[in-house]
Amino acid sequence: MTPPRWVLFLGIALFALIVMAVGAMIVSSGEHAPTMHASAQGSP
Amino acid sequence: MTMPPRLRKLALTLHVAVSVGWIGAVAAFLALALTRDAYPAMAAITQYVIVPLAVASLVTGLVQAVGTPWGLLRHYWVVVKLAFTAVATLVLLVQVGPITAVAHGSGGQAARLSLALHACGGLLVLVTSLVLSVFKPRGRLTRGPAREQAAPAPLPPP
Repeated sequence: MTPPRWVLFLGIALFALIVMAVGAMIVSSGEHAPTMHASAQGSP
Repeated sequence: MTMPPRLRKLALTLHVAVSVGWIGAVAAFLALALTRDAYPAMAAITQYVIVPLAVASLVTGLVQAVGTPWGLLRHYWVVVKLAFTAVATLVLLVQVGPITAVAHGSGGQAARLSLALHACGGLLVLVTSLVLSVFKPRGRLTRGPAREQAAPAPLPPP
């Protein structure tokens, strides 16, 4: 039984949202706040 | 395994209350995310309001599906709603850590932007689920004893 077109549309939209959410998590987890050590050395 | 009418209405009321409350709480979270210096409040809202409402919405939704003729795997709109709610709850639980970290002062600009983007995505998913609940679009996975789609009655023979 073929699913209706709106199911496919929402499925693709949900998949795209999941990809974006995972991407945002990866990008934000790669960023770190300035550490005490770096601040003491006068890093910007 | 259908619930009696009174219990069914009580369960539906609870499901609507926690689900709409979840949308409102995420909207408040988004407003705080766009306001600087409100990160501790965001963590408190997440921990004490959004997560309990999300779990309650998922549980009451499952009870509604199983305890009514709609079923869990009979109609596409129910399955899609379940998928949306499950994914939103999962992403929320993963985000609790980063939200707490930002509230404690760690995490940079990208982490804060990520929280706002996640709140936007969450709102989109939740509002879509709300629309599905109201419009209940056609489409069935299986045939069963559940209420039939509104099919036109056959014409009487001439």
